[in-house]
Amino acid sequence: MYTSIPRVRTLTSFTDSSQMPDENIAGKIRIAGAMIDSAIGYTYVLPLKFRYGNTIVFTGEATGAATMAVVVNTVTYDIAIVATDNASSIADKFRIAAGNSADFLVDDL
Amino acid sequence: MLIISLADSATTAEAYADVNITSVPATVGMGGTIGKRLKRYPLVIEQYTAEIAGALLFIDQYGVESQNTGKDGPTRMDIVNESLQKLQGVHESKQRIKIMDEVTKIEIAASSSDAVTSYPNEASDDDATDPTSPFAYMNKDF
Repeated sequence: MYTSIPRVRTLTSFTDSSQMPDENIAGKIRIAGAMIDSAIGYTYVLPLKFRYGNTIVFTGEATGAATMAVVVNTVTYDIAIVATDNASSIADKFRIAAGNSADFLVDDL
Repeated sequence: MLIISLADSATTAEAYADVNITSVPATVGMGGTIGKRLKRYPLVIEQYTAEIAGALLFIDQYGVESQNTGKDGPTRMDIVNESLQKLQGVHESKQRIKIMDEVTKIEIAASSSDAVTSYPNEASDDDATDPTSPFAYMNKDF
């Protein structure tokens, strides 16, 4: 499927899964995907290639200095935490530490 | 923070591993939550798919009662259809939306389904019995 059920729920505000079950949305996503394929099939090679994505949401306020070892794809990225760090600054430090990864890129958000 | 694999599904196994986050340990008050690994298609495709699915749901739920409101499914579908025509390059405005790769920022692979498969040359003839012809052939019905 080209999109996700949570994405459609956000877009439509159908947030109550008891009134709008996942199966209903999944069915519409399948129809939508078929329409997309029909529209672009003569223009682009199908099936479309995809990439994998994942997220890390950093939380908390640092209480001291230490090193956080984040492991992605068996590679350890050491993040030097200082007492003034917060979630945003830790995310920045991870972005810098992982900036040269040959496996993945990190967005700016 | 979003992590996107540099490899695409042409090398699926590697791409799957590339965003395999295994440890974000709690450290001096800081921690992190690892998300769910998801497939990422070109964002314009993801957006149009969500828009179409949403329009279909609005049509099912509200029908014509929602005309000229934010839940107007038919109007939303009309807008998306225009976008699909631009993706195909057949919109009356002649505008064309290209699908770009999220990482490489270049257009994704084009289909050759309606490409010209041979071109006329000096030996070309419009006589179908001439063994030296080729005509200009296209994989397309007119």
